Amino acid sequence: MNDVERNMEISKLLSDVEKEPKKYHEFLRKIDIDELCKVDIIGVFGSSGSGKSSLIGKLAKLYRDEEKKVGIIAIDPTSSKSGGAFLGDRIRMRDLFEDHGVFIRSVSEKNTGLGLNSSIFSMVFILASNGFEKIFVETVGSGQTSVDITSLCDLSLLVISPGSGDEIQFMKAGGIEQADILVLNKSDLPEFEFLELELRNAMIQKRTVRVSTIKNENVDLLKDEIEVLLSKRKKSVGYCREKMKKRLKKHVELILFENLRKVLSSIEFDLSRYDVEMLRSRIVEDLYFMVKNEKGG
Amino acid sequence: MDEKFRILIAKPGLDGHDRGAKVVARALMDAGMEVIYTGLRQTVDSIINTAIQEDVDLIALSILSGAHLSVCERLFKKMRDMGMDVPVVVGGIIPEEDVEELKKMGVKEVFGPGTSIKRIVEELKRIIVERRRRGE
Ligand SMILES: Nc1nc2c(ncn2[C@@H]2O[C@H](COP(=O)(O)OP(=O)(O)OP(=O)(O)O)[C@@H](O)[C@H]2O)c(=O)[nH]1
Ligand SMILES: [Mg+2]
Repeated sequence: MNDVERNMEISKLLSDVEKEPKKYHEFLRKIDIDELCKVDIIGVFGSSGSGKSSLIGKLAKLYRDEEKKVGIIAIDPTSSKSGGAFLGDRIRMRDLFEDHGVFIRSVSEKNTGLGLNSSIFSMVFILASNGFEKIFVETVGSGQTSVDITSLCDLSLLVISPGSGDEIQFMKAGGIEQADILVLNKSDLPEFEFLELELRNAMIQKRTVRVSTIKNENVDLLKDEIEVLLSKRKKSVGYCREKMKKRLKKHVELILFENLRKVLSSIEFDLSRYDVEMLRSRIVEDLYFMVKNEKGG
Repeated sequence: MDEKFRILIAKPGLDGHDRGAKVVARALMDAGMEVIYTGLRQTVDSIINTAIQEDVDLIALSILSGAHLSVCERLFKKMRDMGMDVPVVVGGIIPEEDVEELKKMGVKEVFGPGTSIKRIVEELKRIIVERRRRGE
């Protein structure tokens, strides 16, 4: 089988996660956890436009220079109105399009509000079991997203750039705490010094790398940081099993959450026939019921 | 199961603007589809690789440069060699006499500059639904 045929197969398998869950179950049962552990899964999150896709493109290129195969899962938001999505992360990775050693899959978040969904976990496992040695997962978001993405990934980067005004947002949401490395991007811009000032004032203590993705400055340095951290982590005893357990736990949680949402959306339909008074009494009844249950009634 | 239609919008060739392609992308998204957008100046190889990796239901080419015949010829040849069978549509300024030619090559539909967005959405849905019904 040549590279292209291989990629065709992998692509179908990725689609099976949603189209043919049974086939995916078979795959999941056979996953070798020790093999999976050799793969490095790197999460990249941060606000829209901070430069995540561009940065992943540049990092991927560096890994390709070492002939490592790279998988990229790029998540973009779903339109809550239509359910459709504009998946445009690839635009920033065009240098990689003709390289069969890089596999890029764009996915929509599917309105979970988490910047992630359960299929992402499955897709990462599939790429990891098919020869990809470095896997990047890109998603917009802060708060809960950062928690979920760190449970999936071996290491995560928070990308911030000047002018987004989101630094404070990320701090409030705990995004900075969750990240292993804070990447300050767009150091080529004059506004960059304000970003640094702002962060200094906020007294953030975090491993920080300043890069200009566009000028390809310090991206190699960032890669070295990533590698050092990864190898340290992976050497610690029991890391793999523990990580895998965390991943699967989060995977299960997301599936439960998505099923619950499906149930809720069907209830919503019922409730639309209620008038204000009916809704009011429904709230009281349900609250009463909850309190009673909590008291062990 | 609510399976999403996935569409690749690609701009091969050297012409320098993609406003039209973006308008269509937006409309398809509003119609509930997942649109993979790759930007300007795509080569035939990169279009094919993207279509493979993204497992799209359809490839929509936007061509304003006049290179539609040669681009499609190369694209279909490559796809045939690889045993790939993904429907292709073309949008852009295509002279009447070339429309037949493109369809002979295997292009499913050609949309000229005046085509309404509504018609594009309907046609794409029809093509994808038909293909799925045939099983694959
Ligand atoms: N000046 C400057 N611009 C950059 C740099 N890195 C990225 N950009 C630009 O920032 C814009 C957004 O970059 P993306 O890579 O698409 O950002 P993203 O975080 O992936 O965005 P979303 O996927 O929409 O959340 C693009 O116009 C890039 O060209 C940089 O180092 N310097
Ligand atoms: Mg992006």
